[in-house]
Amino acid sequence: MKKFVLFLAAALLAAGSASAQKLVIKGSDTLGAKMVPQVAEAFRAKVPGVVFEIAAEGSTTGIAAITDSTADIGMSSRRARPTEMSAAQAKGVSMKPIIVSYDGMAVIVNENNPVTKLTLRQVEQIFAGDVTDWSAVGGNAGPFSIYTRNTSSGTYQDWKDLAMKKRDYASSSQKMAGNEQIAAEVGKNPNGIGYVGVAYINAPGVKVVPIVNKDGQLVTPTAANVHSKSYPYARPNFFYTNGEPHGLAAQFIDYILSADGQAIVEKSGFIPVPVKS
Amino acid sequence: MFNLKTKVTAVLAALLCAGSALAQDSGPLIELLIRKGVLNDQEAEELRAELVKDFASNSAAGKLNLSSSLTEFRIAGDMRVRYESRGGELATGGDQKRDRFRYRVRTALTGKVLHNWGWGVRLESGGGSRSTNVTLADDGGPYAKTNDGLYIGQIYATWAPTPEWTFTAGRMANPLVTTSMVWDGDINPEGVAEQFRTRRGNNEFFVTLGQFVYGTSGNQDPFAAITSANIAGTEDLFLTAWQGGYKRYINGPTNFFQIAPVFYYYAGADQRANVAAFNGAMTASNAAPVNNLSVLEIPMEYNWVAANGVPLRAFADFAINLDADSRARKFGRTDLDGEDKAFHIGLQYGKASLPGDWDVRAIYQSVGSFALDVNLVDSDLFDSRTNMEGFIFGANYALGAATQLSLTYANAERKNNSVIASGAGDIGSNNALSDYWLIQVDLNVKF
Repeated sequence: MKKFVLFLAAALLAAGSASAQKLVIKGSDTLGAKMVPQVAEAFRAKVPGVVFEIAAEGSTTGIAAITDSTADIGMSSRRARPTEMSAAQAKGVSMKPIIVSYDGMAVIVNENNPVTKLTLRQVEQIFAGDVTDWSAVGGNAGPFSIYTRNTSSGTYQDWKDLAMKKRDYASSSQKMAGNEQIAAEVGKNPNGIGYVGVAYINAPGVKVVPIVNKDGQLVTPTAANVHSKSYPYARPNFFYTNGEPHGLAAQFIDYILSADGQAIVEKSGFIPVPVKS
Repeated sequence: MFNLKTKVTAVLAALLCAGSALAQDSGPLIELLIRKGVLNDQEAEELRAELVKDFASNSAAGKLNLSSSLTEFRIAGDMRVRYESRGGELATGGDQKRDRFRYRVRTALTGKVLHNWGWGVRLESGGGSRSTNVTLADDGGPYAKTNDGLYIGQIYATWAPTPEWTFTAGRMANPLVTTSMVWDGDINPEGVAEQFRTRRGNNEFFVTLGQFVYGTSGNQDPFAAITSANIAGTEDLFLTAWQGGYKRYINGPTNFFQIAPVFYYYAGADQRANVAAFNGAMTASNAAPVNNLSVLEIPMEYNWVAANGVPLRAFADFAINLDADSRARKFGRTDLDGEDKAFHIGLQYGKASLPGDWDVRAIYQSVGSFALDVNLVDSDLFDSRTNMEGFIFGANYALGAATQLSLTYANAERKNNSVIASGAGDIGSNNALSDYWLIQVDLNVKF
């Protein structure tokens, strides 16, 4: 009997330690499609036995998951909104933002599109529907086919904030599930235009349009331009935790912010966090 | 630098303590501090989060506890105080007149939740289908509240799986493009609606389908076998609407033409079996029956901007009841089968949007006796009646960006004097009305 009790206790301990090694990460499709799984894979090589549950269904779901305590880490390609922060606070959750990478949202068009640059105003006009034809911005005649992210995406809201002065998208715009779908549609459509994170700018059939920033410089979303903030559509990407991260979540966050982790971030197409001086 | 940073952080901490309004406005200051190198991005984010948390703790707005499934929440509405005088003259020469001070309030809560779903609830004063007005002092004793109730005017769920498609179920704002000639603006149809809208360059196409419950029968399957004696009221009655529309943008969003034909078909309107309120054939003493109504309506409008920058709008609506001859026959006037058409044509000059802006509009409207469903037509302009024709003049003046003073005047007469001007009527139910006039002065506040 005594042996059986000891065996049961050992089994329970083993089961307990096994469940403690699970890390639930939910949120942004931008971060969760490529970057975070790659970092998770490398982390698992260093800390064997960790089980990751990664669900990438949009930043809104990541922030909601922290509020509802259904994830250890919430991925978000945008900053949490005040309403989300206060909703969390009302539930006793203290949102802690941690910048894990940067992204520059690139304006992409079909590779055969002759347009070589766009101004901030032109980008706003195109996505808000003020202009409807490529000829209005120096392209060949033809209606814009505008591809955007869907409403649960952080990128959808960030683009409105950064590029459209918070205006609504053109009613003709088509909402896509992810960056890859936008790049694929633009690659097929000579009149297509959309925005994607830098990790997706090398998709076949598309090219990045340089932007004339407010200082009159022609800029693309390079690491230097994003860090210097001269690229207008740059943004930090976040992990959110409930208060200071601890346990396995803290280990994983430390890893992604380490030199090894940031190398993977860069390799997966994102812009790493600048080294602290 | 460290000292400066400490000082700046202290300033921000002071802001944080000073009040939520300041905390909310500190975003640009944080951005400036990042650009100056005082804060790095991570420190800025932590500071931002602290400020927002403080806002959540110390401000009324921040204490709202909203569901995490909500992606958007909106509170909006309007209230109106009205002086109204309406009157008329009977064919016999007698006069009727009714003066009222009235108010209405409508408050809508709407929201979007995850995965393209949404919802809306609108509370309204007034329990009538075609009015949200409450008449002052029209209840028991001075300043009693017995008539001052709130009702659910709208309650619906929406699903927009793609930007083109929207599905709505519940009691909703009228999804159709129409005019007050056919639908009173206060009617919120109940049922389901499907909408499709797409834009290709300057051409926009839309389709709206509606299946609205018009009346529900109390006993669809009586215990006794259905016979001619007990068949009345054994079927639900539905109004279906089938609309296709085209909008042509000519020069930007303010210069366009739109046309949106819609066909209305009543399903379950068996004259013996449908619900009691609408059962039977329309008669001089009962205008509610919806027998023999197959109405085709064609609303259209053209919007443009005059050379002096003033927006202009020309609009028209034409309707014909394709089954009017049967409706006239059942009414007992086969000679009036030509009373099957209604039209409404108007022009608006200006748009009262910003303080000091104003607009005026003039409309001519003529409605045949058997052209439209009298249960739906506007309850004010021609007193809920058909077989009326006349003018409507209106003007709005913007006292503020959300406050308007409005004036409406309507004057109509019976279109065909050999037949009643049927309808519910608000100045008395006497269908022998031959002339009608209306004056309304409104103060509207939107919030």
